[in-house]
Amino acid sequence: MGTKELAAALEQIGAAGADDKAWRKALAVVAEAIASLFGVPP
Amino acid sequence: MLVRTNDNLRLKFEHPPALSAGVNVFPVASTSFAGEVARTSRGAIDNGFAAAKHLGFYERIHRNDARMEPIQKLMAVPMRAGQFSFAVVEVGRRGATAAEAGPDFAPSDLGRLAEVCEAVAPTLSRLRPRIT
Repeated sequence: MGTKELAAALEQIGAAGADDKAWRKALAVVAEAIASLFGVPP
Repeated sequence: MLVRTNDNLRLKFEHPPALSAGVNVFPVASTSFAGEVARTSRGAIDNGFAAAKHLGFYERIHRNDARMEPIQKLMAVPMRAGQFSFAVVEVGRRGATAAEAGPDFAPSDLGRLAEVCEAVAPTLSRLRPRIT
């Protein structure tokens, strides 16, 4: 996932609601993307 | 990922979930890799992390799973809202030895990580809950 696609995915998560569930989901998506970028476990 | 508590004085692990449970908090002012990144708002690389002195807090990260090897190499960048660093993102390489952990982190890696963090910071800053 490219940086722009990642930012768009997060905006979509944020648009659905700004609660703890959205926060956790956003963190998980970012962690997955970064882990994939550097070849490390999330 | 470590996020500043609501008083901005401490950092708390928020991800991965296994580390966000409990009191995984330490002062931003403490001598720590993440604390320095938060204080200075500058990214950093430590390719000799396992050999360096660091908070016992980091040891707990791999003690949660006996199979997990120690962090040998670590890099971190601040996540900013304006000029304020509200979180620190760390990426580590694990291994029994530094050689087994993989290649050293390079400044270009830090740049790529900073680019990703800059892109997602506005949304994460907005979603950030109150952390006490």
